[in-house]
Amino acid sequence: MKQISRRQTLAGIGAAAASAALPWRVLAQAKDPIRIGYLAPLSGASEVIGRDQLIGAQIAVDQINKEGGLMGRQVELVVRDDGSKPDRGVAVVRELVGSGINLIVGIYASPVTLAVADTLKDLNALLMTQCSALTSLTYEKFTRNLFRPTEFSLMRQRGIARLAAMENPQLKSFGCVTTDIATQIDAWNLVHDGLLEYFPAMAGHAVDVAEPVRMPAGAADYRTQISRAMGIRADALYVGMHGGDVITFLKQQKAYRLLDRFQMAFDAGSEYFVPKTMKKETPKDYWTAIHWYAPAYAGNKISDDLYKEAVTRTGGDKYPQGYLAEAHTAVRALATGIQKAQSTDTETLISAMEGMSFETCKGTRTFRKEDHQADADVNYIRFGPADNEDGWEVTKYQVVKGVDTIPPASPGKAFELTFLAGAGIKPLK
Amino acid sequence: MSNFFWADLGTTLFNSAVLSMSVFIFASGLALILGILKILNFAHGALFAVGAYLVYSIVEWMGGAADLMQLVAAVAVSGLVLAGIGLAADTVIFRRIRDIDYHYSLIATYALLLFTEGLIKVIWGVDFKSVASPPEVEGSLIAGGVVMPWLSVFAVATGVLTFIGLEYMLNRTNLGKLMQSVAVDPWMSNALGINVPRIYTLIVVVSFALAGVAGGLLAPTTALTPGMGIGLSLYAFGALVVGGMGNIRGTFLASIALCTLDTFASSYLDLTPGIAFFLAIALILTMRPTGLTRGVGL
Amino acid sequence: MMRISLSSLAIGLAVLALMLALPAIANQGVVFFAAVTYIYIVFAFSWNLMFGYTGMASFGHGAFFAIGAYCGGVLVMKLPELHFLLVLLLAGFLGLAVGLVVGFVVRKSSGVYFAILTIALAQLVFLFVSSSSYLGRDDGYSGIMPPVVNLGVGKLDLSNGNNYYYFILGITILTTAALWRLVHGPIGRRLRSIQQDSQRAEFLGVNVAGYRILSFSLAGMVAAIMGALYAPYLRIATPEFAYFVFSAQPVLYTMLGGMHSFWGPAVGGIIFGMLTYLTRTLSGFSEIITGFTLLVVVLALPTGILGIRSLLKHARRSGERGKTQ
Repeated sequence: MKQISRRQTLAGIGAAAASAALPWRVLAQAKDPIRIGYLAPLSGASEVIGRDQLIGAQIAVDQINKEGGLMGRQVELVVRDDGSKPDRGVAVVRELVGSGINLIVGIYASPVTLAVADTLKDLNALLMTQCSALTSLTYEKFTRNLFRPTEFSLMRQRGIARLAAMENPQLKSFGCVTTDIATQIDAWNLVHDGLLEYFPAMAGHAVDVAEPVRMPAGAADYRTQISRAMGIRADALYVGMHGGDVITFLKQQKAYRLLDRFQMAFDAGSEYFVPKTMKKETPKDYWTAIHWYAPAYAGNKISDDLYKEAVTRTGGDKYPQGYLAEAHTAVRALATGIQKAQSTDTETLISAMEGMSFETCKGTRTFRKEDHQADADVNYIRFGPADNEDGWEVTKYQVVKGVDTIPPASPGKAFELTFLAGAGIKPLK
Repeated sequence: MSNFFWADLGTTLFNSAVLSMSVFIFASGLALILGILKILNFAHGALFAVGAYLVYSIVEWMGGAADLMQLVAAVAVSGLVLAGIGLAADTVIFRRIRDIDYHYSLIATYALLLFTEGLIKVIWGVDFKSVASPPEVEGSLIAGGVVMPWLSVFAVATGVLTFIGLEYMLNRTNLGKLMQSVAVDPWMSNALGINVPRIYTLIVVVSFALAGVAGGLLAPTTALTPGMGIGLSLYAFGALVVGGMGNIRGTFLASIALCTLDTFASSYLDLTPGIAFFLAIALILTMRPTGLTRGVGL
Repeated sequence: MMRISLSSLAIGLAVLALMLALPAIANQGVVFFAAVTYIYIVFAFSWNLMFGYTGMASFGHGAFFAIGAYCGGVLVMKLPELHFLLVLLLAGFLGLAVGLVVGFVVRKSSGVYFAILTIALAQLVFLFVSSSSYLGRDDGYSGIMPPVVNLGVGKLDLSNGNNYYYFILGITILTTAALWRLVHGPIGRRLRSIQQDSQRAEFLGVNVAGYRILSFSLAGMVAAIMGALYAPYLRIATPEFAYFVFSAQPVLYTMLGGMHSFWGPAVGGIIFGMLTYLTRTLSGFSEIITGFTLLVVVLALPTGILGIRSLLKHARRSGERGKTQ
């Protein structure tokens, strides 16, 4: 502790000398604001996500300050761009800690989250993640200084299998096309594991699962793999892609009518990107996951207020991204913790937030003591082309309650794909 | 041999053709600048992206959906706009980097790439964009078990037409012959009274226009992102250099050879796309450091 | 030019003093960023060994950095008993070995062919590490713990405080000194002759192909050492190091600072580092600014910032000559 305050003093002197670099200066006064660091990909490949995440976080801060702030003090968000690069993320976190900020909210890209998570203990900092889906963060890479208030890959992907069993119990076989990136390969293993659990349990029969067709990530041309996927004989198709990749894939497969061959199609979770971009070209009856489907929570005051504010701040976008909402959630979660602990000290907060419940746009969530994971709902939506101004519409949605799908905790150990193991199937690598 | 085998072979051959022609259309504009000005334009990929985004904006202005004729018109307009940008770029940049060490020109075009990508983000934003394919070319031609999307057939046809057009222009027209002589010996051409700087400017303008047209034509097949040109760029550089420094015929053949090899490798050997391509380039350039075709010139 | 002028010495000592005192006067983020910049600058020095001294413009140099980063990361995690200095040397040798093979492949290549060949080869490395599940695919090889270095007189725990910063400072200074001696010695002179006119050098009996291979491999070795130094600091090695964009970074540093001076990449690196740090709160404009700056430099100032001095000297000299005539 003594080391940090000495650094703070010297940093203050240094800051006076290099004032151009730090836009926010801390003045030692009684009612100074609570400064929370906020990281998002504001440049680079995920800029489209980071931009909306920032809006969500800012809405949360503004709402908190309007209600009187925390501990009688206003909250100030110190925003930094991590550019989806680990070196930038780590440098920025160190800078924030060096200027006296020990609480960080945000980050989206897994490599950045991993790199930062590894430094949290040494820096005595706390990270409240937003939409970091990487399963290992609360499993084999668990660290006490990290909290995850949102749903994550394990919950979402196994939830897709559950969704299929609920919606279409008559399905007998599944096929898969997946990009060759780490998150997608993990995701497919989770879906596969889920299929082996939920179909026998909920639909009363087992399903056949075909060998996945693997796609190169970021390619401009998926035709070779689409041609190969035409050979898949199955009732349903899982598309393990997101972002620009899934849009390119969906556009290119149209001429082959690949999706038409399946009774049910879903992807790994691409929010509203597909219908907003493709409009009338949107595939029919296509399921995806989304971090927050506002109409499902109509009547929840936090959700309604957030939706109104989000539409305004995104310039009238009636379909705000789920990422925006979960950034909002992350800030709220931390704020609830600070209010409960009446402190911003890292250790105090960690103890206070373990087991703590907090209110969000998707209802009440609770942080598990063992692994700091919250039992968030997972939202799935089905959409298709429509003859309206947007060119598309949501035709169905499902909310899978967090309590129903939150998997058992095992901090420090990887999640066991028990159903795959039980069937003697080796997970995809 | 089963029907399945022939269909598989046919599909792979068709996919090879589509990739080859996509790469060739992209590379043809690059080949002109490389062959005549001896400059490798790293920014070509970003110009390609600008072409795609321009078509997107034009189609949006038309109401969000375009039929084939409208799309072709949009592509033509995009080409013209890019030609204008090419004129500006030649005046400000290319004129100055023509006579200096090639290292500097490489770096200058790389800087132009960064700048143009940044500009795309500022003008069009970072959200994904999409150009709907015209209804006339939806669906596919199916023959012998081989699915051939009409849009892809269109791309292949365009590539072949581009090659024929360029070959005709370079070998049968006076302008083309002037370009060839400037490519082979600019000093002598100048001495013979050819307005070499004007040819250079024309080449830059045509090259930029071709980049725009390539982007516009390929726009309906992919999601539009600011960095969408980088992938094809890397492939095109390879085809260009293996084909022999801007030689159009060589580039055409190299595109076909390399893309066919890569497509077969990823189809039958499950190799990650790109590995066979770049490995082939490395091998070829090792054995023949100046590429497959001999001699400079187009 | 082995004579060091007084002004250069003064500047050098001042910079050294600043680097040593940095952790005491600046915040942790700046310190981290500075250490990263030192590594990037030496990476750029190694690139300039090929470009400024041997006339080879590689656009794939990041591949060596990546090879060193992954090699270092894996060794630190899988063989923790290995002394970290040994890890750095091993990574360096791997870089050297790969550099020798690749150097042999590219020895006769020049100009645009060479540039494209280096891009193709780097792309192969990128595709390889991106598709390796052992190396973490696109997420990279993460969780690399900074090792404890046994210095004989005691142990230096690199995960503690500013130890790693000073360790990086030490290694980068040593490597820079070694490079300095190399280029100012006989080998450096031969390389310079190849850069100026390879045909003439061949004529005068210099084994051009041999020296190009040497230059390429030494550059690869240094880049790999820097990668291995970097990975445990960042705690992760990502395929991005082998990508085209990262390979262009030493090019930017060198062009901005000046390719004809040994210190060019350092000057470029410091300026770029400052630009990046100061614009870190702006988003999306960094590419426009970087591209524009580079364009201006190439068009108006091809010899870079340090070239201004020699331009002025040249102008003054010809002015004087004019007067006496």
